[in-house]
Parts: sequence; C-alpha cells; structure tokens
Amino acid sequence: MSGLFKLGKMTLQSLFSKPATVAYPAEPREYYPMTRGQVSIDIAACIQCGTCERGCPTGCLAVDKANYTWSINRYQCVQCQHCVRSCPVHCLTMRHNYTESATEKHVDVYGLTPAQRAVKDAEARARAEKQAKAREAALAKKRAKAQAEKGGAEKAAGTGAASAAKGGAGTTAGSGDASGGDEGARNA
Amino acid sequence: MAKKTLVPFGPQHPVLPEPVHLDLVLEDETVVQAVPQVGYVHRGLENLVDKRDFQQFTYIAERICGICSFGHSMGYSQAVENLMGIEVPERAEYLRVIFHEMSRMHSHLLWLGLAADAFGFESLFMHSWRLRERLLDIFERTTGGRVILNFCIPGGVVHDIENTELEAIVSTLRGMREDYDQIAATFLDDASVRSRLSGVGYLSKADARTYGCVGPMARASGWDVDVRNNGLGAYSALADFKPVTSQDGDCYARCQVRVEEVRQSIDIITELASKIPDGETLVKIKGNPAEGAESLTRIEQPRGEAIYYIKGNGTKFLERCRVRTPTSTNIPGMCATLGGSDLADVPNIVLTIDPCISCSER
Ligand code: SF4
Ligand code: SF4
Repeated sequence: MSGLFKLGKMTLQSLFSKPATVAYPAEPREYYPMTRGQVSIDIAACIQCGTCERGCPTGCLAVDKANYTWSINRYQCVQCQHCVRSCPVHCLTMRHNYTESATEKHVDVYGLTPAQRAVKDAEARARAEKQAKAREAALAKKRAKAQAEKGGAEKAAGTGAASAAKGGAGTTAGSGDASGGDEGARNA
Repeated sequence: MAKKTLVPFGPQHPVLPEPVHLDLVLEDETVVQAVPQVGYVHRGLENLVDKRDFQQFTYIAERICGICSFGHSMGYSQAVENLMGIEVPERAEYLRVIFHEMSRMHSHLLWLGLAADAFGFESLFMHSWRLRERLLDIFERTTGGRVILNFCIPGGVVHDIENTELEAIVSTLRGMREDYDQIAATFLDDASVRSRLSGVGYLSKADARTYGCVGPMARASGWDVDVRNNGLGAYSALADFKPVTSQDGDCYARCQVRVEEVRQSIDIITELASKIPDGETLVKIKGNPAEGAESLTRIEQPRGEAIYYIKGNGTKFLERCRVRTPTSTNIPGMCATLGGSDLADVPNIVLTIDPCISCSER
C-alpha cells in the first residue's frame, strides 16, 4: 500500500503545481536553439556545387545550376541535417521552427534577385576570365621552357594553347548566356 | 473436453500501440494456443540499401523504430565501422552509450506508462509519461530531435556535447530519480498492480532458452543475457556491470526488471559522464565498403539483443543489410507463455514482452 500512498502524494502535488503540458496553441511552444525545424538557405552564398542534392537521403533537394536556384520539397524533408553538415560553404542552416502548415503541397524555390544575379554573373565571368588568363600564362611559360629545351617542340605547344583557349571561352559563354532568376521572390 | 473457440486479438486492440494479430484458441476462458500473424506495417526498409548509399542508410536505419531509434543508428553505425575498419574516437563511444542509456530509460518509461494504462492505473500512466518528457526535452535540447535524434552516424557522433551540458543532464536525471522512486514503488509494492501481474504469464528459464528469448523477457526468467555484459564500446569503462535479473518469470518480474533497469541506466550515465575523456567525436569516412566484406554487430536495445548484419559490394551501396530485432525473437516465447493463461490476462502478457512491431517488421 505504501506505493499507492506515495503516488497519491505525488498526484496531489501535481494538482497544485503548474501543468506539465503546454496549452498549445494558446500558449506558444518554445523551441530550443538546437531544434531541427526546417532547412533554410542563404542563396547568395550558395556556390551551386550540388553536394546537398547528392547527399540528401530523401531526394527532396534540387539544385538548378543554369537558373541559379535551390529548391526543397519540405514535405519530403526528414530534417536529418545531412545537407547542413555537408555544405562546403555553410550556407544551409537548420531553423528551429517547423514548416508552416499549408493546404497544398508545394516546392519552395529559392533564387537570386535580378540585381544579385547580375553580380553573380559578373563574378562568374571574372572568375572564368581569370582562369583562362592563368591557363594561358602557364602555357606560355611551358612553351617558352619547351622552346628553350628543344627547338622542334613548337608545334605541340601550339596545339595545347589552342585547346586551352577554346575551353576558357566555353566557360565564359556558359555562365554568360544563362538567363532567368525570376524565382527569387520567395526568398525575399 | 470443452468446445474450442477462436478469438481474434488485434491487429487493433487498446493495449497494442502497433498492429499485430493473434488467433487465440480458447477452451472456456483458457487459452490453449496462440497463433501470431505479423506483416501489417512492413515497409521494406532493408531493401532500400539498393537505392540509398551506406551513409544515407544511417537515417533509414534510425527510422526502423520510433522508440529505440538511437539504438538502431548506433548498431548500424557500428556495423559500418567494423566493415570498414574505422576506429571511433573514445569520446564518441562514451556519448553513444550515454545517449543509448537515456533512450533505454525513455523506452522503459514509455512501457511502464503503457503497462499502467493496460491494467487500468491511469494516474501511474500519466506520471510515467510526465517523467519521460524530461528525457525527451534533454534529447531535443542536445540533438535537436525528440525521438529521431540523428546524432549517431558512422564514424562517431555528429557533434560534441559539452561537459557542462553533460553535467546538466546528470543533474536532471538525479532530480528525476526522486520522482521515479515514487513511481517505481507503486509499480512494485501496490496491491492492485501485484494482483494483475503476479503469477501471470509464467516463463521458465529453460523455456526462455528454448524459445531464444532476449532482453528483459529472458532476464525476468533468471537468464542473465545482456550484450552490455560483453563490455563493448564504453561499457568496458564501467567499474561494475551486472544485468538486472529476476527469478520469477512472470509479468511482475518483467515489470520489475524494467523498473530496475531505469535506475541502472541512471547510474551508468552518471558514471560515464564523470569518466568521459576529451577529444574528437567524429572521424571522416573515406572510400566504400570492400566487395564481399561482411560485418555483424550486436547491441542491447531496450527490448533485448538486436543484430545488424551488412555486406559490401565495392560500391557505395551495400549488398545486404539485415537487422534482427528483439521483438521478433520474443514472439515465440510470448506465444508459449500465452498457452494456459486466462483470456483476461492476454493483454498484460502481450504487453510485458514490450512488443515493438515496427522493429520486427521493418
Ligand atoms: S535535412 Fe536531410 S532530408 Fe532534409 S533536405 Fe537536408 S539532407 Fe534532405
Ligand atoms: S551544398 Fe551548399 S553550396 Fe553546394 S549547392 Fe548545396 S547549398 Fe549550395
């Protein structure tokens, strides 16, 4: 009987103390900073490497390099945080509030605003140009070295330079002619 | 001879949190045979190794069950580490065991609540679950999830838990202990609990061995099987570990073993938190499992021994993953126990094996 008596005491105490439950939704639920609610992205920092998309166990992420967007199907995401941990530039974070309820399933698409997009494109062009220049400089150096060593090596070095120039131009064109970026609205 | 009657039990029944079906053959009020039927929540998770790589599969393994989820991620991670010869940092081993023991506590408190509910002791049920909530709060505060923790991955644990946080955990558990002792006293001393559980669903030690029972079910019959006894991982650092056993083999004994195991888990966590070494908590895994490599690990889940077998094929996908969970091992023992019992005692007997159907069907 002693067990029952003790429990009675505890139950009586519970009667006069604060409820153990939260009267949700009248009383909002407090989250811990660590709570895994939903993934959010700083799209301006994303380098579109696709690591998150490849690692996601549910396949709910999609990275569209051509349009510079990152999209997530929040109804498929299981908040495993794998993407957050694997992102090389740490542009993904786990927010502690849960996805808001909705009446229809949708995919959240995050893109850049036109102004951000112009900046990104300019950066990409500058990067490509810099890379092409560096490659040319390295080749010229190599060519000069080869010429100094052997007289007959000019022809081979010439072919190499031509293909490198072609590759460099391709990169520039690729990032230059991509268009769109109108999906940036959601993120703003 | 009395006429035989067939009474279906489940798949939906107030004492069953998950669907399992039993065909009970009765003679008057006495069960003469129980025929189980499983397969209501089969999800084919093991087969997903074809489509998800071995790292992604950790999250799937964790979702085999919503109660012993941490144990599943730990067992699977250990299997991968064995397969690929990875040495886990010592601190990670300690943290794993600390969290595993906390999930044992939360699982047992959940079970105690369900058991109290099954024998109609509502306030005991509420108090057990109120205490369990404190553990879930610890989980959410430290890992971000209440039930699915995503804390243990192959190579260690995803992030460190500060020593100050560990101290806070230990002090929370110490605070819980007082309340828990009162609940435990009710479970063990109360006359109404005793009258529902004592002498009901007897399983002898010999039968426990014959039917290959594991976990609290076997330990309540006096057989001290416990994988923790093997001293794997941080369990080897414990000064003294002795499985909780009881000789009675009835429902009361199974309840008693679980009640004591919660206290034992608090002691294990307190001891390990005071001994935990500093250092890294995660090593990066490089490469893929070798072709034909196999590994098998055992861990002690709250419901008993669980086995994880995996086989590599040289790619990032595994050739095979097989999990043997404690409930599937305990079902034959449970059916044997049901033979000869009263129909009114069937819910209690089924509940005292702590059935976890999602685990056994995967
Ligand atoms: S949290 Fe997990 S499931 Fe969700 S998007 Fe990231 S990797 Fe995918
Ligand atoms: S991993 Fe990070 S940087 Fe790479 S695509 Fe995903 S969000 Fe962008």
